[in-house]
Amino acid sequence: MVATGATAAAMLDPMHYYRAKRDRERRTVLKTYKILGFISSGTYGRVYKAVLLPSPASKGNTNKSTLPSSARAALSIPKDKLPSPTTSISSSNATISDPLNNPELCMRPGDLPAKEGDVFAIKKFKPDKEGDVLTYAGISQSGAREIMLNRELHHRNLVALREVILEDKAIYMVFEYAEHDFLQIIHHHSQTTRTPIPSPTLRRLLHQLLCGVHFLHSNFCLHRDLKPANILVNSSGVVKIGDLGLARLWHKPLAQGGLFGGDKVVVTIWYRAPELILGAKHYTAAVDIWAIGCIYAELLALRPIFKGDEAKMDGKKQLPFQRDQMGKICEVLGPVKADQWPGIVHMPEYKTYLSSGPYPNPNPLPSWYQHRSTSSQGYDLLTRLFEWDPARRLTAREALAHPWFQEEGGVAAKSVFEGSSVTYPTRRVTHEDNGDAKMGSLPPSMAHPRLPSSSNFRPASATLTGQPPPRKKARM
Amino acid sequence: MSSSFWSSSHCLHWLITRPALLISRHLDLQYCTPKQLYCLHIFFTQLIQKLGKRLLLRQIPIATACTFFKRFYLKNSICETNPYLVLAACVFVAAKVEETPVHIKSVVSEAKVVFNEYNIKLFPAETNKLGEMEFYLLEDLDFHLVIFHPYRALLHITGREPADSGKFPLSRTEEDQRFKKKELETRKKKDEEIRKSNLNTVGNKPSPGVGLVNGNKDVNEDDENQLEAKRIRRLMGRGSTEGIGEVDEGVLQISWFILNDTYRTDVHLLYPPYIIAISAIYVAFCLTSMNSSSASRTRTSSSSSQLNSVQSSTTINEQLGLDPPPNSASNFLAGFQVNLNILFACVQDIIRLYSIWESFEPTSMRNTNNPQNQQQNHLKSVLGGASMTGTEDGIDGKKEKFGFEEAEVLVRKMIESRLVDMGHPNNAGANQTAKRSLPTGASDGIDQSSVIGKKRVRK
Repeated sequence: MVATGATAAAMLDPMHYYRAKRDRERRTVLKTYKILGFISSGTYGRVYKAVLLPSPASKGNTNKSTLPSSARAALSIPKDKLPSPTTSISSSNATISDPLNNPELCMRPGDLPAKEGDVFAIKKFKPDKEGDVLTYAGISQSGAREIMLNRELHHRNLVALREVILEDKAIYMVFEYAEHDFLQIIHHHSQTTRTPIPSPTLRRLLHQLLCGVHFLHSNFCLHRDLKPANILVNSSGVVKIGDLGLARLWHKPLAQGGLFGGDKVVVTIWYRAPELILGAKHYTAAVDIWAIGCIYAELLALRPIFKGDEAKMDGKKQLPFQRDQMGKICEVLGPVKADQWPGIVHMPEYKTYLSSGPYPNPNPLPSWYQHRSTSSQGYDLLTRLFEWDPARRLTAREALAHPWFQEEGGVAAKSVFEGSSVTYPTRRVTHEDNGDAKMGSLPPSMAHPRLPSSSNFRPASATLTGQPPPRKKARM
Repeated sequence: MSSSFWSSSHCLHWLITRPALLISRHLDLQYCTPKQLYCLHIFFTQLIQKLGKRLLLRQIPIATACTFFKRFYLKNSICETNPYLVLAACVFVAAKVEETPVHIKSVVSEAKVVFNEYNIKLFPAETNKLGEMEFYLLEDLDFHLVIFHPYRALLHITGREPADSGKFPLSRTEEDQRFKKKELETRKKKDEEIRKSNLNTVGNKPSPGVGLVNGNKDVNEDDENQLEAKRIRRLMGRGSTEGIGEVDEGVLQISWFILNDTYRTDVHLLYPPYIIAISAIYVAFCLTSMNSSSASRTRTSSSSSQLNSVQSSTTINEQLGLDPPPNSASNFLAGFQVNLNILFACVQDIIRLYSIWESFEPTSMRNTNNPQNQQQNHLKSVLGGASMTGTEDGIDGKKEKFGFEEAEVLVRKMIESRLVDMGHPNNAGANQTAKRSLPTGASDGIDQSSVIGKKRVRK
C-alpha cells in the first residue's frame, strides 16, 4: 500500500504512478537473454551475442490462464487496463502472472516469437552521458529510423528485429543472429584460402542482396549505407541486409532541401555514388545500386575497387569535395564523357570536378574484369551497375532479371553456400572482463565497474580485416 | 510494410473497435463526463498544433504526433499521467519519424511558451524529463512508428497523385499498348505453330487433327476472355487513378481541411485511412452542394491545376476500353465500393466533432487573420450550426461554459482526484462503483460534481 510520503512525492509529479507501473512491467535484457559475448562496436554503440533464456512460465504450468500475447495484441490494450477494481500498484501475487517473473508476458504486438536457446545479436545503443551521469537526451535520429523501419519491414533478406527493450536509459535492439557477413567472407578468401569466391556462391550472394534491396526500394526505402560489413549471411546461407540506421522512406514529406536536408553525408566513402560525390541534393535509389556495384566488384577482387581517402572536414562547415575518391573511380572507369551523363553539368560540384582534374584517361575496367571472370554477362551487369548517369543505372528490379543470374545453374538454391566446399569461420566473439562469459558488460549497472575505453574493445572490422575499417561517415 | 497499408503495423495492431476504445477510457470517465473528455482531446490536439507550428513542423508530423497521442491514451489514462509532457514527447518523436527532427531543447523551450499561454503549470521544463517520457512513449506505442495518414489516400482518390508513383516507368496507356503488341505477336506465333503442326499431322492422321483444330479454337476463346479479364485487373491493380474520375479543386481543399480537423476525433483509431479520406470527400461534397444550388459538384477557376481533367480521364478510359469515369458525386463515391455502414459511421464521427468543438471553442473566439483559418472557421460554423440543433441539448442540458480555461482546470482536478483516490484505495473503490453505476450521459450527477464540478457547486 502507498505510504503518505510517496503520495506527497506523487503530488508533485503526476507521472509517479505511471512510471512505477511501467518500470515494474519492463522486460529486462538480462532476465530474458544470456549474453554470450561481445561482437563489435561502432559510433552507435555495441553489439553482443546472446541466447534466449527459458521463460519461467514454460517450466511450470504452461497453459495458465494468463492472456496470451496474441490476445493482448487483438485487444491492443494491456491486460491491466481492463476494468478491474485493483488496477495497478501492489499486486502481490508474485506468480507467473507477474510480468517481472515472466518476460514472455511483456511481449508486444509485432514482436517475433522465439524459443529457448535461439541465438540473437543484441545491439545496444550508446546511452547519452552528461559527464559521468547517464541522461536522456532524446533518441538519435538513426536509432529512431532503425526502430521504425525494422519494426515495419519484414523480408527474408532483411535482418529481422525480434524486439526492442529500453532499459537504463539505453536502447537494446534484439536482432536475429547471423554467423557471417560479406566482409568476413571476402576476408576469409583473401587472407586464409587465397582463392576467389566460387562463382555460384558469388552469384547467389549478389542475387539475394538485390532481392533485399529491391524489397526496400519497392517499399520506398533507401538504405544509404550498403557495404560488405552491413550485409550479413546466416548459417543456413541466407543473405540478411542489416543496419537501417541511415535508411529512410522517401515518400514522406521532405525536409527543407530534400533528402540532403536531413543527412549531409550518406554512404561510406568507398561505396558512394558519383552523384553524391558531385553534391547532388536530390538523389534516388540509384545510390544504393552503385554501392551494390562496388560490393559486386569487391566480391570478385576481394578488395575494394574504389579505395579512396576521405577528405576530412577541416573546421569549416563546408563539405569538402571528395577528390581522391572521384579520382579512384575515374582510374577504373575513365573520366566522365558528356554523352555518358548529360546531366553532370548541373551537379553542384561539377566545376570542382573539372578543376580538380585532370583524371587519368584509360578505362581498365574490361581488363580488370577479365582477370577475375570470363563471363561476358557478368561484365555487362557490372558496367550497368557502374553507369555514371543515375537515371541510366539499372534498378534493383532490372538487375534481378539480368541473364547473368541464369548462368551456371542460376540462383534457385536456397543457400548461398550450396555446393561449395569452403567452410567459413564463425563470427568471432570476445569475452570481456577476463573471460567472464556470464555477462561481458551489460547492462553497466550489473557488470563489474570498468573503464569504458577498455582496450578489449577493438572495432570488430579492424580485427577481421587487418586493414583500417572503412571510415564511418559523419552522422549529422 | 511502408508501402502496403494492409501489412502495416497500423492496420494489423492499431485499428480497434469502439467498445475497446470505451474500455480504454473507463478510468478517465470516472473523473469527467464523456463530453468533457472529448473536449479535452480537442484541447490537447490544439496544443499539439500550436507546439508543432512553433517548431515549424508541417501538417504531417503534427498529424503523426496527434495519432501517437491518441494511441498512448489507449493504454493509459489522462488522470494518471501528465498529458502535457506526453504531448510534447509525441511532437518530439513525430518530428523524428517524419524526418524533420527538432532538438530536444527547442521542444522544451517552445512547449514552455505554448503552455504558458494557457496558464499550464504542470509541464516540467526539463530535457531529461522529456527524454525519459520519450522512452515510455515508444514502449507504449509498441515501437510502431510508421503511420498511414488519409492525406495520401485523399490525393490518390482524387487523382492528384498517382498511388503507384515511381513504381511503374510507363503510363497505363503506354503499358497497355505494349502489352497488346506483345500479345498479338505471341498469338501470331502460336497460330503459325499450330498451322504448321496441323499441316504435319493432317497428312498422317486426318481425323484426330480436325478435332485438335476445333479444340484449339475453343481454348483460344477462353484464353482471350481470361486475358481480357487479366488485362483489366492489371490496369486497375496498378493503383493508379488515371482515368478514374475527377474531383473539383474546391472540394479537395475542403476535404483537406476536414482531414486536419479529424485529428481532434478518434477516427484514426477506428478506421483505415482510405475510409477517413472518402468520408472527408463525402462531407466536402455535401457542403459544396449545400452552398451552391447547382449540382453536386462545383467548378472553380482553380481546377486547371489538376493533374487529370475530366476530359483526359474520359479519353484515357476510352483508349483502355474501360467504362467512362463517373459523372456525379454519388457515382464517384459508389465507385469505391466501401462498406456504407462503416463509411457513414466515420462520417458521423467527423460531423459530431463540429458541434462539440463549436461549444468548446466558439468560432468567434478564434483569430481570423489568415485565410486558411477563415475557411476552416466557416466549415466549423456551418457544420457546427447544422448539427447543433439536433444533438447538442441532449448532451448538454444546461448551457454551462466549458472552454480552454475550464479544460486546464479539469485536467488538474482529474489528476489530483486520482492521486487522492490512489492514496485511499478502499475509499476509491467505493467511489468508483458508485460512479460507474451512473448513466454516462447524465453528467450532472451529484457524485460527479463532488469531484470536478466544485466550481459550479460553489456558485
